[in-house]
Amino acid sequence: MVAQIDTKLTDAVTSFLNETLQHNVDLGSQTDYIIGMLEEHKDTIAKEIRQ
Amino acid sequence: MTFRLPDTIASSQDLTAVTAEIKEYATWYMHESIKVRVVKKKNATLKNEPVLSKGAADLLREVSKGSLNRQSLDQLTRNLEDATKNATTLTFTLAAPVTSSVKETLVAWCRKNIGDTILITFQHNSTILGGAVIRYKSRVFDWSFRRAISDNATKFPEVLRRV
Repeated sequence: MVAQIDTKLTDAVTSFLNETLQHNVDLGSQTDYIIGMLEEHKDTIAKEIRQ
Repeated sequence: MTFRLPDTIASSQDLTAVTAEIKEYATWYMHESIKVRVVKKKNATLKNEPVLSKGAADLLREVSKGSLNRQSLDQLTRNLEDATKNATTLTFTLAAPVTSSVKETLVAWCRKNIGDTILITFQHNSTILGGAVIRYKSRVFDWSFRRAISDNATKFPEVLRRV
């Protein structure tokens, strides 16, 4: 029963986030996050490109 | 001196368009230079200069460093053709249409850290919610918010219990 509630809850939260976050996206505020991810994985990307 | 594309030239379409502009500019420059030499008038100047895009103007400014000549234009055309031939293209998918400042920031980072002449194609897909999905050939780096949410979905009930 608890597991079923958890599953339903997870589905509800995921759907809610997917619905609400799609609107009014501010790319400017995401740039630091994207650059951070690029920094973290730059060696992997560079290696992939050199292959 | 190594050739570096300005950050305003991001994709292969940008590069193709700028190459065509520079070729047209070089043709105009040669014709006008000959005219000026033939006329041999004092104060004779080049006329009807073609209007250039920001990317093309940035390139010319960088290459000429104040004195433009036929050799530097030929060299620039060759560099652009080489860049087109040897280009490595990454595709960035973002949650909204890319703005020029975000575009230039990401292109500058890639040119500095991955390769001087790397090209980037930008796409948008609002369902990724945020972050970026980066593709190179068949390799995909998914740093989207959608992926982060789905990877952490099982933690929601646990987090909510603590609230």
